[in-house]
Amino acid sequence: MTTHDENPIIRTSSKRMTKGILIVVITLAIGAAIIVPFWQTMIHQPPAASTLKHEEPPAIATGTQTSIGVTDGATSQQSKSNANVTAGSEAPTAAPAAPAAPAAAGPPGTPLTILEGSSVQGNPSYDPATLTVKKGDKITVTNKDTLPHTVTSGTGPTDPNSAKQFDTSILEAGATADIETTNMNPGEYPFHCAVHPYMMGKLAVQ
Amino acid sequence: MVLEVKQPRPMWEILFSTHHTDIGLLYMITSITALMLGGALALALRAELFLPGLQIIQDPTSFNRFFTVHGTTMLFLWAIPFAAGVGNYLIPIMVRYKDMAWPKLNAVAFWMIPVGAALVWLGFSDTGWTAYPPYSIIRAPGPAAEMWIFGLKILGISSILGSINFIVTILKCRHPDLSIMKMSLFAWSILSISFMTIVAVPTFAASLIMLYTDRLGISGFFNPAMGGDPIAYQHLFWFTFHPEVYIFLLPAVGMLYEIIPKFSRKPLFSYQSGVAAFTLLALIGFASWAHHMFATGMSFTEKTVFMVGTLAAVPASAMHVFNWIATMWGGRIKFGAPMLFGVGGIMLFFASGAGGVVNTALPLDFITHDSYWVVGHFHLILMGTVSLTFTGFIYYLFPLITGRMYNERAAQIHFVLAFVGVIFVFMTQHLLGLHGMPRRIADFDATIPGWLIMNQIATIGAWVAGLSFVIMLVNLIKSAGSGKEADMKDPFKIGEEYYDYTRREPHH
Repeated sequence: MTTHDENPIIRTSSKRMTKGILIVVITLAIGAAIIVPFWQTMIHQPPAASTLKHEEPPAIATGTQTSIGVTDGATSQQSKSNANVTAGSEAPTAAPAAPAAPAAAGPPGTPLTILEGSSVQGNPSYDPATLTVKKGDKITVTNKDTLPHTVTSGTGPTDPNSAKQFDTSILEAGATADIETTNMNPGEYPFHCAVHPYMMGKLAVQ
Repeated sequence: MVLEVKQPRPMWEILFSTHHTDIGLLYMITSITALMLGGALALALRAELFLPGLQIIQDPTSFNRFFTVHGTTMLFLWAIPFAAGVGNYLIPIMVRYKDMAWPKLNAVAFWMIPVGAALVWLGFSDTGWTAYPPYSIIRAPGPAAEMWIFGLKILGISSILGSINFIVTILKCRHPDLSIMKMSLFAWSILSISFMTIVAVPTFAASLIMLYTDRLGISGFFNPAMGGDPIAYQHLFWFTFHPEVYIFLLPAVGMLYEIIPKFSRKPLFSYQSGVAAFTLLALIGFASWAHHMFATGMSFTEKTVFMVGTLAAVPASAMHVFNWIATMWGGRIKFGAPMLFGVGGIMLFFASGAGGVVNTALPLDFITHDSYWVVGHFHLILMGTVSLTFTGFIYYLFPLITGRMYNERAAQIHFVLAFVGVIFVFMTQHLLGLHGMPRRIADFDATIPGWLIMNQIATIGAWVAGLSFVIMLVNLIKSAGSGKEADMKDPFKIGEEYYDYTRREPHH
């Protein structure tokens, strides 16, 4: 048998070249036939770590504010404001068996909608832009956009009093949250989105 | 395409061969395929950013999946396997041994790559190629993320096995007459990256397992909800992947040492400084990993140490550049395609190196961090220097692999388009970063001055570069089957000797 070292290079032909390319192309086509129909299936399972329940650390009440119950097991954390957050149905990590927060179970309050496309500067963001409620009313915020948003009190992230009055923290697409106005004094409260500071609105409590 | 070593063999005999030229060929076909696929993803990403809003890629998650697989493919399926492929062809010739030290291990190392590639590509994970926790452990959807973890695990093992083989071949199987200081500088570059791989990769291999158990919820190494520390992952990750930057770069440096003296028709300016710079870079590569994490809240002392550690790589890189320029100086340079790509690579190496100095300077790093500047910077080195040099070396090795010559005119058009395209994309991305555009976004705000036009320039540049690589692919395929037969003694007509399989005087 001749070895690689003894024989000179014998040049390949177009025919064999085509055969070689066919091997590569067929392999890739098989891969494409697997990945294209299963495109969404490949990312449909939330990681196991996100469905585990951890002991909730006791919430810290600051000032006049009460705590919120977070139902998204992945983001269990201490909260600072009086809002109840329920994970939206589209949020991929929503814990399937997580208990609903008590306040969220009640009837929906005055609606405040985060409009679709509000993440783009210049688009209308909150509907209504100025929301008028009576003291004690509950406000239900619904995020109809495809991106996460917040409803945070204050004129913007640089406002030193930002989030002192109320803060829904991050609302995923489709998620809802409640804001209680029981502890608020009558007056006007500007609010904004902590993610997109150009999204602004106003809350008037009577 | 196919090096026929005896009368036409059936394809399967080449596929399952253990000879170093066959495995080198498989490595190269795999890596060029990966380059084309990863490039197609990059073109889709750039097309998406041509206009604000979502047009090509329908949702941000798919955009994330595209850039994750693009990055993983280009780094682990193009840069590393290509260097291993060239090493497989040349190292046994350079050390004058009949084959690699362990031919079967060599084949195993290669065949892990298609397996890892299949896992990465069939999953299409959306974690980003860095897979930073907590996102990668508590949010990233499976099974794609698990498949990515195991794919990278397999690719890591493959590169460690390849490195062991290279080290043993170079140190133990070298011809007794050939001292290590007479060996080619390309062999020195492969030796340096093999040692770096063996030291660096196990850290990432361990953190991948930790990532996986964290995802399962068994452990909480990086899960803040379980008392873990996500920053620890970044340290482990960059301890592997900053040296990995040099593992991508040094083979290109070694290839330039092959191309430049031959096309300048002059002996190398200084062999010893080349060896010294390889050794220095291999050591200094380990002293700078945390410069990727200046924005994570490290102490001033830590940041200063890593800033100095990073800057220490500058003199060693400059030694290489000086060496090339001094070699070219006064030579009768023939600008064949490999030399064009080599010189273009050196120019862009200088530009990207200067950008690296800006990144590592503490105050400036905070401006550029996570902006498009970073994207422009690392693409300029990986595409501009590493990939252009690799491409030049594809042309340089083409006669050795196929026995035929490529079309020189098409190769020169490829160079011009690729070089101009690379400058348009990545220089513009530097500017975009300074104008505040964050990386990894599927949509951008066109009202910010400059963003729209700069994104469009970058996209057009990317498509020009993409087109140039299609020209290369057609050129290679056509020439391998029916190109002009090459003169195997001196295919580029430069009066310098070329590689020769028959002149090895095997001593075993």
